[in-house]
Amino acid sequence: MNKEQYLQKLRECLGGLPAKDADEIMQYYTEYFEDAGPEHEAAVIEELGDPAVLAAQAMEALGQTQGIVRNTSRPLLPSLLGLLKGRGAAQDGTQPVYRFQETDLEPFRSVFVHVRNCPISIKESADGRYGADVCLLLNEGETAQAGIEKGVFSVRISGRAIFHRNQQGSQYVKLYLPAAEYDRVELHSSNASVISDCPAAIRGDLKIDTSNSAVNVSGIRDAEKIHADTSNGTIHFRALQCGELIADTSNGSIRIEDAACDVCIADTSNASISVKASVFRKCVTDSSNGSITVSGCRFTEELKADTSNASVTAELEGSESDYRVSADTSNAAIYVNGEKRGKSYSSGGGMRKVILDTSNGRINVTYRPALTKDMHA
Amino acid sequence: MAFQTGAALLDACVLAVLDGRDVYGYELTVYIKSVIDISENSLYPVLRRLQKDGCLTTYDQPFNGRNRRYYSITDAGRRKLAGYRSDWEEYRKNMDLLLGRKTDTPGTSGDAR
Repeated sequence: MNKEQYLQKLRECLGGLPAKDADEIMQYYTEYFEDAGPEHEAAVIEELGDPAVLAAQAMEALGQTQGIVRNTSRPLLPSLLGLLKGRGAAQDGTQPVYRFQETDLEPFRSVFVHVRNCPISIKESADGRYGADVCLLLNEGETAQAGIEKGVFSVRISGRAIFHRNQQGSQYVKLYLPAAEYDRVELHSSNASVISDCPAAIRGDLKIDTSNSAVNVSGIRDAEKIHADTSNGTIHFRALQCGELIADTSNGSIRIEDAACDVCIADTSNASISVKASVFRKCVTDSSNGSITVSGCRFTEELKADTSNASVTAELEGSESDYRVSADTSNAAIYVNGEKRGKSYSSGGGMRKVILDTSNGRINVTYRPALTKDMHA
Repeated sequence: MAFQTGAALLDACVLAVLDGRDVYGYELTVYIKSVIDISENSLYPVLRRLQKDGCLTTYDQPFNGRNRRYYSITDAGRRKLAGYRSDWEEYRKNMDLLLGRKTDTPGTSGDAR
């Protein structure tokens, strides 16, 4: 691929942007090639990488800064199409054909990816309006892209899924979504664990469910709700920003770190729950046989931890007077700042409510100064 | 390099270069690349963001029969840079505290906090 071809591909991938924005990006990279000079052309192409990815990055910057995707009835679909085209072309050198009429694209705002072991199969939308099934048989390491042709239009997936094999040899699925805004993203998997790493803003909900594997979600912002549901796997939420954050599992542990949300709900039966370095209004954690640990969090309203047969540890930023704590254990002791306090402890007239409950485990409450104050002391 | 240069730090680096003089895209990339390991495609989003925030402006200058787009820092950009510089100073001091010396760490010296 030479400079002209590269820029041509980039231009195609920017297809959905307003002309002014696309022109600016094109000008930047055209100039960039010219300033680098013909002798560096190949190196620049290699370093800039896949034009589709470059376009996605540039568009993400635009999305952040100008909100072009926001509140429009027609999101970046045409450019999505560009991405798909670009990828297809980059892979095998042929240009896949996608036919569509723009007017038909408007309602397409959702991504549904169903994963059943392998292969990956992409189903029609729930309302059946845009239909046709695509089943992509993927070999390990292949990139999934779906195009559908039935009737008029033909795009289904706006992300790519890659099968990886982890060290234990089991497969998992990683989904990348291009930088656009989605109303809803769903991932269903039976036996493959799900890793979702979305640079995209999901304006609506992200719902992930799997039966026997782990769910790992990071880096999503602006979602209304992120909901992960698994029976036998662990859930790990990291660096998320959303309204509601819900983790639900029966036999796996739950780890939540660096989350910023309004309400955080973590529910497991037989494993531990840990919530760290997060910000929320209200957090409710519930386990039967696992321990619960909450530390380094800031919250404005309420923290609730409930388990039966294990310990509860709450590390609260600030002092006793900042909270209204009510802690109860039936058959073990409560320790406050390391000091034994019996089986029941309540404190303070603070605004923030803390309810800690267990039957057969110990409860630890520690007050500690905010980390930032520590650093400056 | 184990440490990644995050968005804020990249913003700061770009503003610091622009504080010296106006530069064009390729020149900026080459310069920053000569100091830290970044990918060539990471600066456009940074420039875009800074421009949107009013921290820089652009102007075109003819060069070899075409235009070259120069980026120029604004007063708002200088203020932002000053903030970054003082944040960096504090961050650097704190990191030095943690990483800089092998002894004298909390717990061993007895004067933690």
